[in-house]
Amino acid sequence: MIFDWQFAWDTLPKLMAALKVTVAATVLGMAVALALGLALALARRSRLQWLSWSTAGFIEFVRSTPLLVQIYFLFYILPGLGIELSAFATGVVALGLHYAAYCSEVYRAGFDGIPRGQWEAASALNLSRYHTIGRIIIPQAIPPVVPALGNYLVAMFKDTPMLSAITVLELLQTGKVVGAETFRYLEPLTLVGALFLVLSLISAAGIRGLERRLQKWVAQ
Amino acid sequence: MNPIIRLRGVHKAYGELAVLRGIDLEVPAGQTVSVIGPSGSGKSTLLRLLMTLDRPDQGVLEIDGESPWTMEKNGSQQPADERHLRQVRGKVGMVFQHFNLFPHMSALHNVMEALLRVLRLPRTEAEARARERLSAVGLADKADAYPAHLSGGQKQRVAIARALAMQPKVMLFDEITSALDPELVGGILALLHEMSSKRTMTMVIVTHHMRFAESCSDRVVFFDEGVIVEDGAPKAIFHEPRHERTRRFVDAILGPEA
Repeated sequence: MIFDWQFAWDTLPKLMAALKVTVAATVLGMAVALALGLALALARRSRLQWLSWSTAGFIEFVRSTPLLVQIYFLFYILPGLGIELSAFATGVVALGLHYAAYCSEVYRAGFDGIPRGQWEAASALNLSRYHTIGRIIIPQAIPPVVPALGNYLVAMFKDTPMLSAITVLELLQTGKVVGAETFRYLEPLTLVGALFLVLSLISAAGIRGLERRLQKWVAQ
Repeated sequence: MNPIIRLRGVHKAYGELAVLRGIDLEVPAGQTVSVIGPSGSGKSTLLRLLMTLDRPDQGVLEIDGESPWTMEKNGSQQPADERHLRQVRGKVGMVFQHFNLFPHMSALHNVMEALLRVLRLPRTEAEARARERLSAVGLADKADAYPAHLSGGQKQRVAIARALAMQPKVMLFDEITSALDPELVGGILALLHEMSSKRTMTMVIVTHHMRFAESCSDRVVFFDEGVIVEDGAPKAIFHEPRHERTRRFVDAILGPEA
């Protein structure tokens, strides 16, 4: 089997279009994961016992069940509950929920890394709990965990092919379709892999840059 | 006149460890009180209770006539809500041994933060007051520096400016020179002395500097094993202690015949 460069070149536009779907799912899913993950981490720390415990239970549940099961579950169950979402939107919600559970654990590590003295100084200045968390704790807790959050961004990106299970025409699914139509799988699947590789490397570099910028107030 | 600080029968334990075992203390407004005693005697715990960082297990604690942890409601004492706690807490400020500056904010913004968020001053006014306080501690030129780029002494000055900017009625100082290099201690003590000589604030100073306690305070309280052993004028405590434990502590630190 010989790699047909011309065929690969002809296939590329289709794959690039599908790549947009994959990237959109990742970006939106990560936005959900980052925001919801922070909310979960804060709820987990809440002084309200019922909230803290139910959040811990939810996080454990999500982390202990496969992403694919969660994707199927949302896709087939949500419409029955009167929530009609497109396959793409369902996929974004599933990725977001799943990774929110992981991100919340990362945020938690960030919060745990803040010295007690910071909370006490905030109290001594009479800052409200809202301002203490929003102005003192979160800005210090997040920069150190950006690399860990970035790992989950790349992991989520690589999990997007699972959305093909609920008919989302993302990158891998499109590669397979091209293969099925032309009986040539080598070129499209190689390109799919290469595209994942290139984008993963770019995101990793972007995260390192962000990390450096966020750490500017730390001693050189 | 009512005392600004009043403690009666205050007990505090951390787990099994009884740190304060029945503290009675009244401090009139404007007084400078030094608290001395061996490590682990409960001095810092006293300040933590006064700052409302911790609550007493037992006993009465009042700041300016009000208990931070209880409030009167419908004619009976109820557990305080957040608003009441913060209203009382606002009368007290504290400087910590390890400064506890916010590392992600410049010196200026460390001082401004609570002025903006708690006192809700307009930005220009908050900045003016913060700059003025930084000048007062000799750091006008370090306003834009981040804590990581300041020396220990400079950090502690920012922390003092930050607490003073809130204009509390009571200021608490918890071993604020203990984490400093020896050559920086003098400057910070001089700053404390300057503050106490104005007599505008009530100051409670936990310190290991006996000469400072003697020369700068109106009153010295000697703590040991969670109780106040002796409480009196600096001269009396350092030169004519009535209790054997006070004598041994003072002698151990100053040397006999000091």
